[in-house]
Amino acid sequence: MIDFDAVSGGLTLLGSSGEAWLYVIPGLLLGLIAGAIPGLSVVVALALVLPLLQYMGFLPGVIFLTSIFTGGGFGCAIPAILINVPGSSTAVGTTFDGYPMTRNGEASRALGIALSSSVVGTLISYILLFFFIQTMAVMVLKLGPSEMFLIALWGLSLIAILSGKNIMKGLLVGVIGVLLGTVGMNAMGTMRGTMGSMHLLAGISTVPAMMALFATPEMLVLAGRRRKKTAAAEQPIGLGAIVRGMAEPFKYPVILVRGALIGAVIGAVPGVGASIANLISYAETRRRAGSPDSFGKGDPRGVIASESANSSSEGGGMATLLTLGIPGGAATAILLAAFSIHNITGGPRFVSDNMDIVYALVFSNIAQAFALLIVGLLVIRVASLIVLVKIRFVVPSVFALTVIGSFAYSGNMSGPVTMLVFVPLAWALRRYGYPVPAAVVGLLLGGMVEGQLVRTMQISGGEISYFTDRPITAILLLGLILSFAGAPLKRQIEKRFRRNRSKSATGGCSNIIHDEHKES
Amino acid sequence: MKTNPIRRKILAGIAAMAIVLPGAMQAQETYPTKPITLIVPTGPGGSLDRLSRAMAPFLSEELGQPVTVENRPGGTSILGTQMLLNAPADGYTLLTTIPNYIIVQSALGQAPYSVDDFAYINAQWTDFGVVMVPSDRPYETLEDLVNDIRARPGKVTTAGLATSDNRVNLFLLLKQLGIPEEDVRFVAYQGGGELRAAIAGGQVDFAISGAEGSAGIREFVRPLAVFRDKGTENWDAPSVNEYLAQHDTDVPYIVGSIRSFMTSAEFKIQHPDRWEILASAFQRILENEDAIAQLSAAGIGVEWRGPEMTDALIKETADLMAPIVEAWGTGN
Repeated sequence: MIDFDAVSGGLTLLGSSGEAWLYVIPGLLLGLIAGAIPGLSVVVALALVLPLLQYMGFLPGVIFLTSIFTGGGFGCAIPAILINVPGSSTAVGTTFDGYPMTRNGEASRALGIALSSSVVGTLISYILLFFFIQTMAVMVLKLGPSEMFLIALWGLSLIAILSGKNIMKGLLVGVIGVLLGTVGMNAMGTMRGTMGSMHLLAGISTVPAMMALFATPEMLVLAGRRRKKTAAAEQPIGLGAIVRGMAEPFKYPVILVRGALIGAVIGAVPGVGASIANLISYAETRRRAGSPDSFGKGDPRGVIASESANSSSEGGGMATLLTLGIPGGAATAILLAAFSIHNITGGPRFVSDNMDIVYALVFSNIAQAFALLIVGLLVIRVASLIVLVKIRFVVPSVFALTVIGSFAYSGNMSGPVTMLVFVPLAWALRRYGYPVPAAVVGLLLGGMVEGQLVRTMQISGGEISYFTDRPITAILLLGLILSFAGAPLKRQIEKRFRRNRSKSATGGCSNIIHDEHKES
Repeated sequence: MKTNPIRRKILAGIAAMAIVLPGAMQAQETYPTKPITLIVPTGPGGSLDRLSRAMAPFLSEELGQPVTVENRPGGTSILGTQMLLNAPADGYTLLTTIPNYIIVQSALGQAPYSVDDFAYINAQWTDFGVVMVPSDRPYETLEDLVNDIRARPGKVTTAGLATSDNRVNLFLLLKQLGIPEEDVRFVAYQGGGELRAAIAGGQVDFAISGAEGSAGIREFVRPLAVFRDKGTENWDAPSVNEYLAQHDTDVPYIVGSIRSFMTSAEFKIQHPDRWEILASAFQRILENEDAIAQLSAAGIGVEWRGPEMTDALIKETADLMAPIVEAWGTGN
């Protein structure tokens, strides 16, 4: 599985080239800053430096890009936590508990948690890449439309979880979100809900819509709270709080590792990627936690789940890119372009012929993860000062920033216009007690769920035998059912078991069941 | 609203001068006198972006003015394409795109333009479709595949993008063989990456996919035929027409991914002299050995067809493709 000659070759490649290390810190910083500014994203930063790549060697160039990627993976968590605006769709899950933590006066702690979760996520994904690069690609290839449909549906089930007590309201906005998510051209080239506008052909621009949905209600509420100090004013912003936060994820190794695994596997699937991995990881963590009521109100476990998953998608995406030459998303598409500049095509042959380069990349990324720890700490130390700014400055600044960001994202007025359309909707949802995040999840995943369902129908021709021949579909379906019906089912079994036990009075097993319940 | 007629005339006169004067002044100097913009209607990193960025420095050298590349993605490339038509027809705005997009968009009524609104300088970089099957499928030749489709109508699956040149070629091939389109189960993907993963993973029985884009999955598939005169080193398979010749027929197929440089048709009519300068600049680059070597090293095509042949190629493609796409559009 591991080619030791290539390992030493990879180390030599890294050791002999100062250039390979030169760009790591600037890359991380660039990624962090681009990720932290809503609307700008890793993709923009990558595109910006792409022309420089022709003046660099292949390895240093790709290392430069992956360090931007690594920095950006964490960067988008910063605005998600501080101002409830996810830097990109990959950090949506981070807002659910990250921003409430800020409201509770724990911004520094949340940032610390997010940073070390990101670092661990990146680390785990590249360690997986080191051991299983070939296996990961083969695994991705096994996933057909029916499996992808179930994965997307799994993400969509988050709507029910996010709805909280008022399940009907949650489902209603979730469905509206899904419908909005299917606006545009579908897989068969049919147009729906575009109202004749070419701006809507490729669908509603999710990033501007999301910024409006998340930021508006919060900012309006903040603005309404005139004379009170900022929620953040009393918070400790010292390095100490950040560092203490950084230690916290290690108390929840299961959540951390589960997030990293979900991220690495789903991140490897082309067209699915990080924007769904963080949601699924969050959903699973929340569903399995003993006290789901604390979620959405600033539970650190939510931040860990989301951040470990979105950062580990990077390694997954790299596996697909290297072994199949297929980009999983916009960011890996730019990495592919960097390959093309050097006339290199990813693929099994590239990997087997250039194992040393692949390992050098893996080692460099592992080193980047550690460097991110330091660079990230310094950046969040500065970023966390936002909480000291007075509300009357914060509210207009955030609005201005999101409008500019939405323009930067779309490159024309369609971004700001999308935002303006969603602002009143967001306000109304909040005003009448509808869960806004459920709408966002629907919007993000609606098109994907529909596309995969259409393909599932097309490929099976409506024949049931297609599904019975696919064990992974069955396993996923079972998993989906269990994660929904599992808890009530278990309660039923436990109840019956206890009743039996009180009759027979044997005991002994109850501890095991209790532990299991806590664990999962 | 009431307007003073005299004032209106004065205003009109000023407006007319504003339009005429700069033009008159420019005519004295030779084109180009200011920087040129190359619009790319897709995001950074794609093949159109790479082609434009690779050509920009050479163009700049030939024309003596800076040439900047601007990515204008959005509306499935309609936004950037429309931007060229909205810009003044003065030769300072060029577009790099695949005309097949224009053909599809106008056939489906998505965009207000048609292929006739553009003047094509050169189709520099083309690709060709390959009929490929996942390695675990039993088909060894195109004949095997066709026989199986005939034997089990409606069971054999294929994957593609709904309005792509490859699907058009599949349609033309099936039609020539007298096989109804619905006898092959078509699975519509939304992105090239997902599509290639599906082919490599054996999710479908066969597919027609672009040769260049599929280089990464070459080891997972077996090529049966190419939509080209003959196979290449990487895709060593007979031509589709070589197979069809055994059945005393051939198929008129379209060329895939005709990545081309173009201006608005109006510019060519209004400024034939400038058009000539522009076209010859492209020609000189693609006849320059250094430029060819540099572009080829980056994996970029360097064909010089010239305006006449490019125009003919695109019109021919449109004639074949538009009615098929239109029928799909109404069928949905």
